[in-house]
Amino acid sequence: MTVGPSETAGPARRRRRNSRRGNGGRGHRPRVAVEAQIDAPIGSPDLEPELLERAVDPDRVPPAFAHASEAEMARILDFYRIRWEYEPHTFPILWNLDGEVTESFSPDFWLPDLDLYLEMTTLRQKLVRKKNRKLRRIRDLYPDLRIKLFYARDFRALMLKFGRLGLVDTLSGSSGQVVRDRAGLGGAVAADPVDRELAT
Amino acid sequence: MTPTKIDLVADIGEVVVSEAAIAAKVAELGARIGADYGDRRVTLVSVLKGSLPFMADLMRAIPAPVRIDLMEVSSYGGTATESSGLVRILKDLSATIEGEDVLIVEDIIDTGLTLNYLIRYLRGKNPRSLRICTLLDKPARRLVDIPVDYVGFTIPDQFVVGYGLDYGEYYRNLRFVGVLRPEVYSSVEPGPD
Repeated sequence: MTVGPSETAGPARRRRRNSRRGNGGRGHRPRVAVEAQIDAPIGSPDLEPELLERAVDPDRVPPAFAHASEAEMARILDFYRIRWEYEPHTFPILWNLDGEVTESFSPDFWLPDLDLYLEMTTLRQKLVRKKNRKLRRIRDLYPDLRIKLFYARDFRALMLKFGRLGLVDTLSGSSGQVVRDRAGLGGAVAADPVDRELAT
Repeated sequence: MTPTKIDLVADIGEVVVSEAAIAAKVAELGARIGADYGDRRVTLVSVLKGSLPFMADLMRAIPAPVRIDLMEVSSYGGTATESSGLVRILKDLSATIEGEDVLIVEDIIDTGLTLNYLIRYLRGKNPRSLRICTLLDKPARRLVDIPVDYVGFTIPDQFVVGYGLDYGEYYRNLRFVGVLRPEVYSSVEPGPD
């Protein structure tokens, strides 16, 4: 059994992955630990400002987000200078008797500096159940993977915090499946977003 | 976002942390911080605007020499219409912290996004040490794991105001921390603060 990001993807899949890269796309980096002990010297004064400035690449091409809530999350991460990649890794979660992968899961975001995956699940509850099943499976198979799930209520709370509650209805649920041509959202909409949401 | 009609009492659905509980906790935290730092001088860095009441009370509860400084960091909602918006330091420290023991004083930590940026920024100023004190911790909302040294209260996943925390810049002057009734913000039109 293969445990880890799928390495079986063909060239086409790899090209698609690369084209989806967000503001990161520079491969793995060691996580920046936050020192908290009184006597411990704090970090490298030369590294941190550089890291802050490099967090967002202004020339990047926005990926094709499947959902408006994902585009909004990307903007939030950009704002706070947190590097992200969009669906860079795929994890097999089901195989047939011949050992071929029959089901896989690609978390929406990977935050390399935090070694954290984010999965946005703002669709209606019926569809969320299917995704929850996949998440239980991935947690069983990859217990060391750090995945933060963002349900509709989490997204709503985030929007409330940022004073954008009025936009929740257009950015989440079924209506959020079409990314409006709105300044800053960026990215085209993939075909059949419901299927794509469930397929990832 | 600005509530159209504000009633400081009626708009609160539930008191999460009372004025008396805040006072007791601030005294406890001040004593702990004083004991931990001993004779070492600590610089308290308050993050405007929410942590102002907590800072004012906490600094007087620490039985040790302290300096204070204030910072302000832009928030996402404030520049939401700008696609290229990036978090910025709106007000920087007024004195150097190089070689100093620094304690960040926060009102609340939820996602950790702002604090993560602030920590990285302050680390670049080469303090001797950097610690974090927050009155309220909402771990259910955490995106960025940050070790917090001093936590007043761990609160449930609810939208709270008071004792510095605002909604649309109001409710900061409440003496307690309370949950804002959902109908207060659900009927408010979106817009910049």
